[in-house]
Amino acid sequence: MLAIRQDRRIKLKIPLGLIAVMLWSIVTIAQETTPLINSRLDGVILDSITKEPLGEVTLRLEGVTHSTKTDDDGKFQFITGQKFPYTIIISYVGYKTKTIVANGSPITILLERDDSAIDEVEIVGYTKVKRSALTSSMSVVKGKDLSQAPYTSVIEKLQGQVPGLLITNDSGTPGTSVLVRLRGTNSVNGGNEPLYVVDDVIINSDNLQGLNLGGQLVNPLSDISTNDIESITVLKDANATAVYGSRGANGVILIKTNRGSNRKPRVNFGLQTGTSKTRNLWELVTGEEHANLVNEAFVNNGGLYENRPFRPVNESTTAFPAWGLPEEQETYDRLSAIWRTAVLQRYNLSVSGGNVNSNFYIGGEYLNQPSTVKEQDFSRYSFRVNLDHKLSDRLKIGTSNNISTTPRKLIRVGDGGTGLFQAALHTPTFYPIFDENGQYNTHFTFENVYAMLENTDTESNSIRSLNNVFAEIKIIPSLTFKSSWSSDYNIYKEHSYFSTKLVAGQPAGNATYNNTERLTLSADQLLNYNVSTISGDLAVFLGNSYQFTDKGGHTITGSQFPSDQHRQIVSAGVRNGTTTASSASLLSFFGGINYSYKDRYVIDGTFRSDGSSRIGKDHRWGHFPAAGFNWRVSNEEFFPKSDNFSELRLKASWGLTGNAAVDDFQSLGLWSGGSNYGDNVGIVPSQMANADLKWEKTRQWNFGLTGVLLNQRLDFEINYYDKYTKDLLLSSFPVQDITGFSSITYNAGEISNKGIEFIANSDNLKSKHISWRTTFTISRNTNKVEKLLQPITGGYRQFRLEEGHAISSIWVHKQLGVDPQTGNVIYEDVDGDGQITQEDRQLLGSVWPDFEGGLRNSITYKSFDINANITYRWGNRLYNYTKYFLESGGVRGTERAIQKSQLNYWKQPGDINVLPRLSSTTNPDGSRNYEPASANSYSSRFLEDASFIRLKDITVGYSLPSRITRTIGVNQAKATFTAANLITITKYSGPDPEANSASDRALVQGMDFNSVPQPISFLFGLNITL
Amino acid sequence: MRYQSKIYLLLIMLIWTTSCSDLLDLQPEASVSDEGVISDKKTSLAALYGIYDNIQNSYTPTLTAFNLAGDNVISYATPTIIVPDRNAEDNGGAPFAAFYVTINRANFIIKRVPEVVDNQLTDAERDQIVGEAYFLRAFAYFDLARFYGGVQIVTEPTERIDTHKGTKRSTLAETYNQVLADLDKAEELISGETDRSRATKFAVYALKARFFLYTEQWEQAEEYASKTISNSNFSLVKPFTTFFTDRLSKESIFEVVYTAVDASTYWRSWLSTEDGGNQTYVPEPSLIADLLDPAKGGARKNILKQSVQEPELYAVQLYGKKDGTSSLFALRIAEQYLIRAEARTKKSNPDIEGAVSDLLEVQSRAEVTPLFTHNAVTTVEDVLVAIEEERRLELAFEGHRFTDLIRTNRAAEVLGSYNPLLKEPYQWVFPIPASSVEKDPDLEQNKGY
Repeated sequence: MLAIRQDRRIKLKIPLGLIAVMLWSIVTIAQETTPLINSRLDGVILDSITKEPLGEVTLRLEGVTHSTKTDDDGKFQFITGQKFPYTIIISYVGYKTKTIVANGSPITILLERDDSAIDEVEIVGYTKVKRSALTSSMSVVKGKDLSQAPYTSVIEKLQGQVPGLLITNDSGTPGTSVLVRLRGTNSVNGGNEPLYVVDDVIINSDNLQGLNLGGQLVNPLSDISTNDIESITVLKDANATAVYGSRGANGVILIKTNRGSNRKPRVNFGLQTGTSKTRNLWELVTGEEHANLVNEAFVNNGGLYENRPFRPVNESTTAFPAWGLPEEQETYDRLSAIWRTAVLQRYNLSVSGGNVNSNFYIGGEYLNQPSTVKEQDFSRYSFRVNLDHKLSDRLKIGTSNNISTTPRKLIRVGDGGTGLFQAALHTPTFYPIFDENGQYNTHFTFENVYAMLENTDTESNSIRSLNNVFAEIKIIPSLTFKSSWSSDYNIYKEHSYFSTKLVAGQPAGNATYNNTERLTLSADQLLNYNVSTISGDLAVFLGNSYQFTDKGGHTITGSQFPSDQHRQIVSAGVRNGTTTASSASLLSFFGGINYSYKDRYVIDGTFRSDGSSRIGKDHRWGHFPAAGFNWRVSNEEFFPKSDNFSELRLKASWGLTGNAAVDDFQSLGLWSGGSNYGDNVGIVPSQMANADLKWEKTRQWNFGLTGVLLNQRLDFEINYYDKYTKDLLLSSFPVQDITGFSSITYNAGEISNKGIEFIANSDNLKSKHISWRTTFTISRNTNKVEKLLQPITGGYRQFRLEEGHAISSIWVHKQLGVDPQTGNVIYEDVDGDGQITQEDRQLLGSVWPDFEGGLRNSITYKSFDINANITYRWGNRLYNYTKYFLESGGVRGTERAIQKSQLNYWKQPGDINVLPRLSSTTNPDGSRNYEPASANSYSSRFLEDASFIRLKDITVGYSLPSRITRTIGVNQAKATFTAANLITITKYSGPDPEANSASDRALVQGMDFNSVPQPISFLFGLNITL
Repeated sequence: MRYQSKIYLLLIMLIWTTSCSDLLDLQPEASVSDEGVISDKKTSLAALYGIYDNIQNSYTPTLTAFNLAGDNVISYATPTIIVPDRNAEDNGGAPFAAFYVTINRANFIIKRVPEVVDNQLTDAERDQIVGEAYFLRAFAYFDLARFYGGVQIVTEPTERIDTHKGTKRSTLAETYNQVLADLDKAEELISGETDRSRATKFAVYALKARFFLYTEQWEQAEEYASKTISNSNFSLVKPFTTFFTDRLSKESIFEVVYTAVDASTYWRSWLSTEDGGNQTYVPEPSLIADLLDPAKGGARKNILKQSVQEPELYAVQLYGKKDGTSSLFALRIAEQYLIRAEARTKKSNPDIEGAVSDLLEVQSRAEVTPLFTHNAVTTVEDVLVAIEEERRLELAFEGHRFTDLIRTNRAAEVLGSYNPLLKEPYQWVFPIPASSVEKDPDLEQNKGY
């Protein structure tokens, strides 16, 4: 376990007094009195159309606090001190609230559906607000509406459902990273991920991975099961997120997991199984075609014909090895060796229930999801316990706990000589797999793919525990105090062994073992005050939060193993070890007020102050105010009462949020050790001081309009926002080389994001047997770097951050065509000096789409239902770096494979619509048709439009009718069939338009280099509730 | 009870707030704050080893870039390119920033070690540490000048982001003056003579000899080369391969060393795939032929290893220890002989006899048969051609060839025959990496790039 080290200058001072006081208060308040019984009311509540019983419905006695809930058969019992007649208010999520006067028992109550759900209560930060009184922009997705497609984390299942939330699967490998951007990209290094809060626990969403997997990153959100989710709330504008202060700038995603309720225990069992397969792969040239291309390029580059690489084997010259004539070349297929049909299995079992005072939810899940790429595998074992208990009418305590372990098998896929795709895709097809002795033939740059598949040994395991306990005390009916204590503990272990059969295992085996741990403790104290008067409702809250994170780990490497049977580092001849340690703390005070006047006007404001240990001492405290206004126009006298236009709300908000998600201790000038020379210990200056390091701050305006039309069959919401980020944090802001440092964490610029979002829900059909509901979302965001001290090129040189352009814009020479006469490439000569130089490179688009969104259709017919999700994106670009290598005109010789499309190149004067002539020498204007292996100037011909429309998933379900389920003694039984990624329409020439293969580099988004495409999956699921 | 609760709530908030006044003052555990880090003998030495640590990192790409730029070494992946040309985006992998990392670390020592108060640190030890820092700074500026011509000169440690703002490039002469000034300081301060993995008196002499060769001060070049040659601790070791199969042999004057724990991966770039390497860099075919020729290469053929599968392919064994302990040979005695031979030939009053005797020392160690012979008709030009050829073979993979051809003004003829662009003088210095120019408004790119 990661103990809080004693030698730390600061220690966690948990005030014992506080705990004592709390315990005492609990005991005092927990005393109850026995009520007097005067009447007893029995009844049943049914859906007004389907006449199905409704469970979980709340019945409240008017004027007093007494309430009860229906059981699964819709039955309830009211025992009260009141005498008949009395008024009860019946409310249920998704139904119109009904008020009736009860005058005798039993009764049957019919509830009408309310699909606009405007009075649903939403959790906004630290308070709960009726949807109609929201001043902010937010979206809610119910757990049951999450996609059935085989994604390991909840975030992937949200794609296309929330306007303004851009979600890209970086890779088709289960459990790997997802690019998530809410309302655009505000920051470069300050973190762009939204803040994830699971049951009041602010969770860490940056991964602890230490191994280089060629750009592939594991996704820490995959630690959380997707089965236990009740709902997901996405807070978008600053008024909703400012109360999260320094961490709210990228939006907040609140995840609520299932809790028990007052009913008899219910057992739910689910299983899902199915297969995944990858399609749309690259097509490579034959061995003979490869040889001809290389020979032609060799001669065009000025090589002598008699020295061409593919010449008769016995023609020995002083030049390089003779590979034999082109027609003698065989074609070897490596690519198909790495794929497989992957079989997924998922089982989950949960029990939930409770009584008036206590309820519980216990859930467990096992998931095994192999990748369609061999040697990659994701599993998850997770277990959840949520408990709530009412000690009295005033005091409630509860806990949420999740523990999971996610073992993975991994392989290095993307960049780097030892990657699987380099071995399978980039090794030339003519190159024999075996040598004359039947041994694996190792290419000079890449691994032998079979050797790799047989000898890769890389595994990781993330063990994660998320825990929260809370107590909520009603001090007076209008004032509650909630104290919440949380921890997020994550151990990430990984080990790899490269055997001597691999290039990476030379000379005698190489092993790495990493163990990283992170513990985040937080304490939140919150006071909530709510009063209702005839004219309006007032809600006030005040709180305090403290969070402490301790992160550390060790890496041990070993080499010089006695044999491949000895893989543990203990057997290594040479062992090396290193450790890391880091910590951060955040202290916050916040408060807010919300006043709603006559259900027409709502005004609210929040304020938060955050102090972070990461920020330079002089700028440590950040202050984040926000305010909002909501006008329910339809409640005005002048608004005509009409079923065709029943609801109209306008809202506006403004707020400031912050960001300090940089590494710890970036403001200090530091020296570090470990820079040894031979056997001598060395120390070096490792970080330049920047005492001026400030918070990154984002200001956001939001204007929204909500309407409900056509007898509540159509509702829509439209939001416009304008975000402006100042003091942009760049963790790798380049400094002059003469300083002896490469970069510094610096506040270096300003970025704006402006956009519009639209969502509409339409009930196209609504009757007893058939219903059809459509949800359509569309959003647009424009991102622009408004100010930047200097252009920055990072990671890969074709990605650039420059004033006046979107972040991660692609910086290339614009190819106008190929000269039909000479076959040479023609680039736009921007500065008109007749030469193609660096100055002529242009920023020509980015991965950020002009528009994106989704379309969801849900149809139910009797016992059948169909759900289909379509996502689409328009105007996004990808840099097809795979193609850059595979369409390299034969100039890379025997180093790289060539793809089939290369064959369409310029051969004679007059050829048009072709790739340039095969050569890599410098053309008269300074351009090059193809790049030699080491060069680095990029053509726009690899910059592609990656717009797409994708049928993300379609699920057909059949539920056993209740008369059958009753006879077999189950509550519900449903079978589903899901197809995922069935159809994708795109012009993009690579295998998947959603690729993002260098997500580990902040400036490089939109690069496709050996990305694993998302597979097509067919899944069968079964869900039984007892 | 209501009032009680309220009071306790207030108390809770109060206790909480007061206990968190210093919650935000965390100190890093993995690193140490800048101030006072060099405080005694131990930390002074550790900071010095920190410079050597960077030499390990920077000297490898230095060798690679110089080797590939000449006509001795080519990339296996692009066998048609014997001599590449360069552009700002692709400057052949020449390091730039890495030199300034060395310089900054040296500047810290030069400024702070003289101020260290520690009884354990004797004056001689203090001088040695500061002297080595001067030597390593000179070494960095010299290589910067060889790559780029005149560069920005900084002699103060970087303590703030704006410490060096506004520093423009110096001329080549000014940069060379800095090299000489630092070498003079190093000569004055360094007393160590024995540790070949660090800067000794002789390393200073040897680098000075090289410096005078490049600046064509022949008498001084001869004088400084002689200082090491005449010392009995240094000799041409036999057989030829001993200097790289052994470690810190008598051949070495300054050797950048690695250990199995502090290992180098350079061997991967040079060994063939049969030996577990990537054969990234391979010798140029005509150089192979010359090394295999007894009259030219002699025993130096053993620096090569023939491939079994591809008999035309030879891999270089110089950096070939697979446990990563192969050294980089920055200064060795054979170069000093050849420097002296050239200086003796070129000085105003040529000493052909002496020059040839130096040349023969190197040839005989390499068991070349027959040896170079001279007689009455041998001209100065003949000797210079022989020296140039000898340098090409003797120092084949140690990064000398390209700059030798530049400084003797032979680049257009020799390199230009492989790549016409190399006839253009702008190609004789490297372009500063485009990314370095981008981030420094005071850093002007070399003309032509």
